[in-house]
Amino acid sequence: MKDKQFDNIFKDKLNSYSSPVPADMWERIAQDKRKKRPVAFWFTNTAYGLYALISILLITGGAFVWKHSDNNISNSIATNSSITNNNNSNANNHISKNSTKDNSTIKESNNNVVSSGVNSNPDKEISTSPKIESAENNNTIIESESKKAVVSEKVSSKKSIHNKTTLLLVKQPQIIGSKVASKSSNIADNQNSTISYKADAGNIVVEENTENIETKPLSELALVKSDRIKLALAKLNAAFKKPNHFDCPGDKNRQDRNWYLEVYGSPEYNFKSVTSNGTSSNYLQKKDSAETMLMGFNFGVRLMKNIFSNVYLKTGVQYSQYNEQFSIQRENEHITTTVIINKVINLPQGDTTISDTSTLTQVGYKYTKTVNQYRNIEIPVILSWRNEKVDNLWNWSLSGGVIINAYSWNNGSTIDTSLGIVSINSKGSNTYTSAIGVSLMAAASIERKLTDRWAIFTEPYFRYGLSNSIKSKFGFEQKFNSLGISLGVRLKLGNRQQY
Amino acid sequence: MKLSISNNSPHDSFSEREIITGCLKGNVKYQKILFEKYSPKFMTVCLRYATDQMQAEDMLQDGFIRIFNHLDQFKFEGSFEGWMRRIVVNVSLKALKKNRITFSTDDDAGVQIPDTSTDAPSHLSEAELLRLIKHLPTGYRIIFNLHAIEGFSHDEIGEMLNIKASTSRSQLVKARKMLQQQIINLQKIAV
Repeated sequence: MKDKQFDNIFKDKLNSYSSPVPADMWERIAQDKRKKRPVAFWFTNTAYGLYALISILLITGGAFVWKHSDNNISNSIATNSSITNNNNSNANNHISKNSTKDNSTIKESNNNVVSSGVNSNPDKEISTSPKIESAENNNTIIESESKKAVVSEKVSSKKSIHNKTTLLLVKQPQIIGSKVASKSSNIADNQNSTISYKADAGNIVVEENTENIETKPLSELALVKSDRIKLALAKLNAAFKKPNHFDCPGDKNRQDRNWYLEVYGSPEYNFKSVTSNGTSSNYLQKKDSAETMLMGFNFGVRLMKNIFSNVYLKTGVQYSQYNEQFSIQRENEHITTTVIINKVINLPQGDTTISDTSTLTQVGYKYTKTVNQYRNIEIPVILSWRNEKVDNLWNWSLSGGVIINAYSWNNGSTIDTSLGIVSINSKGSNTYTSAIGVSLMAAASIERKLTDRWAIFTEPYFRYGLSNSIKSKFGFEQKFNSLGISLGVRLKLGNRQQY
Repeated sequence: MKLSISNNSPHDSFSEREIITGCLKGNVKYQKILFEKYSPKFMTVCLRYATDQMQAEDMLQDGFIRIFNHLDQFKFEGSFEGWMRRIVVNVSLKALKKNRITFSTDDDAGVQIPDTSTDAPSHLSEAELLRLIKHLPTGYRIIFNLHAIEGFSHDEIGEMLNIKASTSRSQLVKARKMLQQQIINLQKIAV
């Protein structure tokens, strides 16, 4: 028989042959289709995990850049302003502002406030000659024991002129009299735009290009159009409002030198992601139906240190435990009993015995229920951006980072591929092997100060397992994702000055 | 072309295009019709490739999900059944590749295969032929299925499985010999 003929017999007979399909196959397909619809895009695969990581880095980086640019804007508030207080009420106060380094001088001269300094770059010098003109005899700026900040604004298209944060502290100049009428300072920048300020007893008038004049109370200064002016004035406003707290020169280098200790704990909702690594989906379905995640928890301790600006690094050690209920019902015992019923019939010709033999099969089911525990010792490495204000009771922060699974151990049970029950205990079984897993974590927290050193905080968080932390000898891998809310206390270690 | 649905569903007949369009719109009714129409045939395909029943069911399940997911790629050119069958075969191969496929290099050339009668396999039922194939080692089984039944050339098989065409040829020869031996054994039992 030729090979081709031999092959054709198989081909002809089997090509259109129909085999029985399991009755539940359509249900399984429909269920699988539903499962594959992504509920949340970041759960679907590792690539999305990377997107989450990038997002966290962008948020952290963005927060830093924002803060940094805030400092830059603050930097453009001249540190080197010179103020001359003039007691001569009839004179004009001239504030001449240069883009200079820390070479401020305070001169008292007759009605003139002159700022002098060494210009680091003459090309970048801004020729500004704001004037404060006194319309009334007593409208002068004088020194007094209380403090108040006076700020000159640097207006420049080149930010590199000033590098230091520049709110200048002087003894409080007070505006004497009810009005400082028609006092204005004109700032001409190198782009030929003109901005002028007018002070009017608690109000500051901002004019831009001398066309629009807005009068706003100090509390509304944040609404001024020009961002730089807005921030400068907001700082000024803040300085007026908070006589006991001042930003200092060199604010950019401000750093919280304290170490903090956080102790926290959290209930956790865990969900498991199982990936086949050669095993059949039928087995995984049976395993999945036998296992249900329960509430887990974690607790830990970590140290926190300011690394730059408002960004803090947190690291420590934590214990987490994922709980899972394993329950399965299996046929345990078959008992077959033979039942013989003998009937004796009395007949005239003698007794007749009729035997009726039947069998009775009894099936016993064994219901097994245990709680599986997956325990981990982990190292969190987290960057946190804190919006902390010294005087605020309530503060908030955004955090993101990685949690490295340093050591894991399990106990409990699962099913093997023949649906038998096997132990998953780390000691005495090699059903599961633990791998070093890495998770991404993102959190937002709200904290409340109790005292200068103590604070409490709450921190909702989401944790995404980036890699599989458990590998099974039955051909699958699994990892865990978590959703939780931490409660904790923070202790300031030591009590160093912030500046 | 009309497809008659012979189950007890209220749908009497639908054109192939109608079913495909319905499936493309995500209409579950049409998806089920498609499934019911073709799943028995494709179950045979999967059984030919799979090591056991459970694996065949997985293959069929994955195959239909892939069909539904990629239905928009069918261009209404050529046989729709052939297009779906190719997907099922690919899914089956992919499932088998998860476990390394070994192509037996046992030299069984010395085994004497007596001549069988010309129509020996034709006397066997489809179920018996299927059982014979399932008893082949994985490597033999795949090559025999791909070449003898699916009709792929050895070059194509080599490309699909990343093996040499000559390996495919030798595996096919060995698969045929093993099948013939099994048929002889069956005949002996029958006698």
